[in-house]
Amino acid sequence: MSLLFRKPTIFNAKNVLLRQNDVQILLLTSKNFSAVPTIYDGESDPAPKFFSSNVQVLLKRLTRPDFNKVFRKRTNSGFPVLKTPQYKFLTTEQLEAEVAKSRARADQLLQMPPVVKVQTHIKEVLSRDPALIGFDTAKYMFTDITLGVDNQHRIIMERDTDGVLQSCDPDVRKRLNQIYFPIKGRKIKEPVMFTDPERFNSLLDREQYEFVLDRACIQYEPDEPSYQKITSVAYQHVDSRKNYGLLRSTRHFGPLTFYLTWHLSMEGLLLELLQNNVIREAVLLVALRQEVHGDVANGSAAQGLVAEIMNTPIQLSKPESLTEEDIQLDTKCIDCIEQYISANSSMKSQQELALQGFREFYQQLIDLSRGVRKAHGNA
Amino acid sequence: MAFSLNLRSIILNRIIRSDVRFGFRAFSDAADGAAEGEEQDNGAAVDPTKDRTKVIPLETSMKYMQSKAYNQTYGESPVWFLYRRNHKGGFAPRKTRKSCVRNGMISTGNPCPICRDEYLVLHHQNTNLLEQFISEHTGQVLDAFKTGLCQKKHKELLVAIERAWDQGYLTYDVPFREYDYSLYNKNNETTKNKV
Repeated sequence: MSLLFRKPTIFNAKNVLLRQNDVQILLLTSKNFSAVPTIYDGESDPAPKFFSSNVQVLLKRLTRPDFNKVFRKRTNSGFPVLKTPQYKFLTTEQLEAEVAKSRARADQLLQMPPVVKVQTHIKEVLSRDPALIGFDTAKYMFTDITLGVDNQHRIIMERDTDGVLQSCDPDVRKRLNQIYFPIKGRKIKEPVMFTDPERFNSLLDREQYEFVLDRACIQYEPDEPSYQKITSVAYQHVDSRKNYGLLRSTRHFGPLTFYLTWHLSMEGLLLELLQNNVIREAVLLVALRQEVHGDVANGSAAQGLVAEIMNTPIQLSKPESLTEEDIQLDTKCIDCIEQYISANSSMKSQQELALQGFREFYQQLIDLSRGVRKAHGNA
Repeated sequence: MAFSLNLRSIILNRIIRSDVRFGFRAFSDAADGAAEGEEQDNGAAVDPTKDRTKVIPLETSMKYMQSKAYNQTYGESPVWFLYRRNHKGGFAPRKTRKSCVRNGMISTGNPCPICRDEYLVLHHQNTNLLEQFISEHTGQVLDAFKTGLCQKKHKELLVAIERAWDQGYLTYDVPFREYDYSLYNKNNETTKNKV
């Protein structure tokens, strides 16, 4: 009898344990961030839009380059000993030349990784030689290692064991290219941080977005599906946590903005811009959406404002005083954003609140700067 | 009474037996633990601070890195900071010693910074420890000449850091990659060629 009684109790205990485990797993999944990786593989190709000069200009401006961040101290020189800095006395012209040089250098450092459609591999057969069937137990790879040919156009062929001479898979191509013409920092074997979702998510949770994206740039080609999956998950994570500031003034902000705009999910970014009182960039974002999709109600107005905004300097910090032109431009921007929110936005209430907050802040600023000018006797 | 006496004797017997058994077990355990060398016979003389046969789990080490005891010992500076090598003459040899531990015992009077503290475990997840061996200026692993690690531990360190970089436990500044836009902007290229 005792045996009979015991058995069900054991089963019950097991059931309870199992149930508890289930609950834990569910909790974990709900705690963890889950994003669906997406790739640019639809009908439309993002490349022409991304490379068009209008979009490039907008993306570069939205990056809001801060030279302190662009030229931050980096440890990727590869030299075991640091170079000693040079201190010089310069004339004004020389100084201007140096500043121009460092601007060019910043542009170079901020070059955006290209956003292109995912590649499709077509197997091209050069010849079939049945006489060679069983010539060896292994494939033979042939690589043209002529200098001055880029990796994409290099001729790499494989002779299969069944005598077919054909072009090879993209990953084999990549490996051979890396063997003969190594890219610094790229590994032949994929890093575990990209292959293991747990490690990848832990990196995102630690908000190491720049590292993840930089490394993805090195490890993968921009038209590889795995690159686009990794970056899309990272962008979605940034968007869900509103961590735009971490990527701002890095080379990845442009592709992030483009990604969000392409998938029509840039409302969070717009809200962040409104909350941080950069109304002009909000207009640029609306203009970007108009460029990419052309579905904004007052799109042409926003695009008209772009040229005016481009002439003004970048707003890195809160403006201290406003000129009358600034006030005119900003009121136009406010109108534009208001129309956008009422017509196109999917986050209306929050954005309206943020815009209202900005209006109040701006009114104070206007009063202050006008008052100061009056006190100085200028107006 | 007789019954109670009987009971008492039984209990006493049990205790004595179990004692004997326990003693025997303890003895046999000691013999098992140090079965490798001849030294286990005078096992009582083993200095517990020099014994390195016990494997410290990673979790303990990571907890230790955050603890008050660690802070009291090392403060804010890296674990190798106050370590000085013993050497003849004015210049230290380029290579540090091969190993500080032989037959599971510290075999030197001045073990290296990792060997001297048994709770410092070189593992790719122990990033607080690994970070101390990476130069903040150049991003490269510091030489054993600077840190004083023995060759064995230095090799372990290199493996642990490489793993940590690979798995994303440690981040670093990735080399810059410049893109050639003409390769990706295909429409533009074709128009250029036509013109």
